[in-house]
Amino acid sequence: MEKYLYFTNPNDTGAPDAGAELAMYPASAVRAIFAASATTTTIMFVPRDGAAAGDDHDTVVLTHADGDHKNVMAELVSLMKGEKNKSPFVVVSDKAKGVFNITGVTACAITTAD
Amino acid sequence: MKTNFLYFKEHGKHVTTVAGAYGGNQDFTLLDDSGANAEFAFDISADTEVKVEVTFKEAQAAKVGSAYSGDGAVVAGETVVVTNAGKSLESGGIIRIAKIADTTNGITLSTGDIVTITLIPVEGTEACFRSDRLISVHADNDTTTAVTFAAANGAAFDDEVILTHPDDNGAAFTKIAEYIYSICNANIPERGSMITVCDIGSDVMGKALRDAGVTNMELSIN
Repeated sequence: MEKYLYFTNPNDTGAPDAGAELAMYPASAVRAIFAASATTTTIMFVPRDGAAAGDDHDTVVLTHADGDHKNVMAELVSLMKGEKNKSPFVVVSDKAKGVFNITGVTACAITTAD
Repeated sequence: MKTNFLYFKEHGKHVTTVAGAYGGNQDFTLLDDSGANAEFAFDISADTEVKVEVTFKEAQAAKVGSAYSGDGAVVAGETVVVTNAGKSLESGGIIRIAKIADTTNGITLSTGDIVTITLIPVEGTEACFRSDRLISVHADNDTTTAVTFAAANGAAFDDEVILTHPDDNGAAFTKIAEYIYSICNANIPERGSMITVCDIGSDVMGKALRDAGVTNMELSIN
């Protein structure tokens, strides 16, 4: 069964209520995962707008402890593969509810290509 | 989700235990420019690509500049991260730590202090690719094999992993191709786990890559 990855990043303490404050992608839309900086890891997704043009992609950038990329990638893959639960709805980083299911992740930033 | 996820990390770490006070410059040569890539996967081109840390053996006064300590003192076992202004890249792959003459960013190194220089992760130093986005494994030249993946950002150009190995009349090419095939398709890892293909800094590498004599791995991300 396909897994769906859920992210929220409200700018205030309330629920997500603006653009780029919530996103859910099927795990099959993940193209790759890259280190982005000492404390961030980028998940590259197929763009939500379905554009066929080159260079299009959506990203979710996870903020975590310094140098912890490998652990973040491994735990994300584990979530996508359903090692930890059988539910298809997978909360990865939910700032609105204070739920972060990858050790050390404290925030995320969502950017769409469109 | 059936596809496997393949993890690659470029290596980059230099450690020196200071043997005595430096009369001249406090220089540390990174073993990358030699071509052997013993310490770093590639030649460092800017001091901002590396993190420089100093761990002090003993408590001392007047040891560090004001950027690190209000009174210049340090305690035994304390580690400071050298500021950008306190380090520089010199020709030949040398990282220089400013001396205390720079009263803000300088540091005095003494016997037993440990200097650790590590690669700062950025895009292109560490990646996890989907095996179902693999495009090819191909011989680049006598001593390098390229593993290419469809570009994660959607660009026409691929994302690439370059593996360096001995010139052995093609034996390494075959070993690498067979290994990549096996990890893309077989259930060799524990269910669902990410597969660490090449993490030289942690001394973790697929057995077939080790058998092929792989000594270096570089990523080229779009």
